[in-house]
Amino acid sequence: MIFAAGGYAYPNAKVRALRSRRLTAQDRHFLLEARDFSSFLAYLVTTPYGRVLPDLEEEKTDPGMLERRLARSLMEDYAKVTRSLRGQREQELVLALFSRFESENLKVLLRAMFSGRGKQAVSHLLYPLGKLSALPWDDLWAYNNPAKIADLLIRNPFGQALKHAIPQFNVQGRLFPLEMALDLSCFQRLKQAISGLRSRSDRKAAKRILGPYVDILNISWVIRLKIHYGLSHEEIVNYSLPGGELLTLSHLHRLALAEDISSFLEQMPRSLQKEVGEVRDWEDFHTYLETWFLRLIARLFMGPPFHVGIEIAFLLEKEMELTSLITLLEAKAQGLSPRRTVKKLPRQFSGVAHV
Amino acid sequence: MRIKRPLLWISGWFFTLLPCIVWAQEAVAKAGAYPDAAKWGYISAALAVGASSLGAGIAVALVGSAAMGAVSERPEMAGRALIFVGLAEGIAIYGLIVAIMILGKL
Repeated sequence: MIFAAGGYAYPNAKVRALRSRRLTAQDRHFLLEARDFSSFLAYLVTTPYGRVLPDLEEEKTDPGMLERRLARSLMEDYAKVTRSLRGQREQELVLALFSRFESENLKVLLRAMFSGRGKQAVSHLLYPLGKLSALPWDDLWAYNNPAKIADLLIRNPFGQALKHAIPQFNVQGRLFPLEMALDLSCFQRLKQAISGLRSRSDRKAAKRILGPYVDILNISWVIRLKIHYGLSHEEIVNYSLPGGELLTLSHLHRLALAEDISSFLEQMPRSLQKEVGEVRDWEDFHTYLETWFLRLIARLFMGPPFHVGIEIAFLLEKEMELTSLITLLEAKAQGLSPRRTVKKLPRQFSGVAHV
Repeated sequence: MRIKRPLLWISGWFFTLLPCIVWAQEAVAKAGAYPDAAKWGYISAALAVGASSLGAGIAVALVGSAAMGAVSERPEMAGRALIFVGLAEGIAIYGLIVAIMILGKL
């Protein structure tokens, strides 16, 4: 206990101080109820996110650019949390979680390459990764072939994954196999990072928070691959992420085979059924699951403090706050009413507006 | 690392207790009528100071690093953080008071 306290006193206090900079209930209320996009932005600069929006006047017509600017706050927190952790294995866990953003930027790079566009044309879609990313981005942007990119990254899990997926890419002639390979490699790395943690309490806490997170992603992916991509159930299961806690392979098989929402609900694990029981539309699943996940995070912060789960929970909570904020930003840019916007946000974010 | 930590603990306690025993033996030689009382008195006083200083050291290390973590993000919390570091430091003073009280009885 005393060694765990010694190891986590500093990062824990730092994370809690960072967590105190979340949007307050008042912020969320005013952002949701803002009359239009410009009043939304006017309020946003007064919140902790205002720090990453210095030259707002020039960019306020482009929500896409603002989204990535807002993400800078999350990237900075990743860097701070990584630096605050003492153990290399704990740092590796945070970096494995961070690699999802590197993967997103690699996907943008591949799409730009595939459509013959340069870095300038897609720069607004890139996450501002900063110094935390060790990938050779300048060299990567200089190439114009996925095989060369795989060769350049061969010592990195991304390179291995791309190399394995390139034959499929060549056969199908689309980026989907490469994108899935990048995503799967991130979560494989995450799973390895969890099992590489030294202390049992760290492993348990990391699984407790990342297991349900992977479950949510798997459910969302099953829905996306089934409804939007029309893939067969074998393919859907094949693309599922490793490291889930509640969903087994047989759950995923049954979910992929479900024909409508009611049968989909019946095939979910029992502990999740009550959380999503009120869902009537495929698009609502993610919001309900996110609400449940944010509740899990809040519970974790009230429990024993000295484990790596606190840092992971903070980063995921912040990421979800950012996602909600971006959803709100897009809704305001499109002129949606607060009543319609609320349905797209987790209850923790939108709840205050109903009081 | 697994072997290092217990070794550090054992050697730490050893070097804390060793001077107590040595000084206590000298005191016993001088004490005369109640040699046992003086011996145990000095040992207790040394233990009270030694153990409480060790405890305070550990507490300050934990509270101090947590305070630095919080202050690095929210500098306005520096005053409040210092109070908690002071509370941790207080543990050593309790030990010193107890030791003075013991020595006063000898």
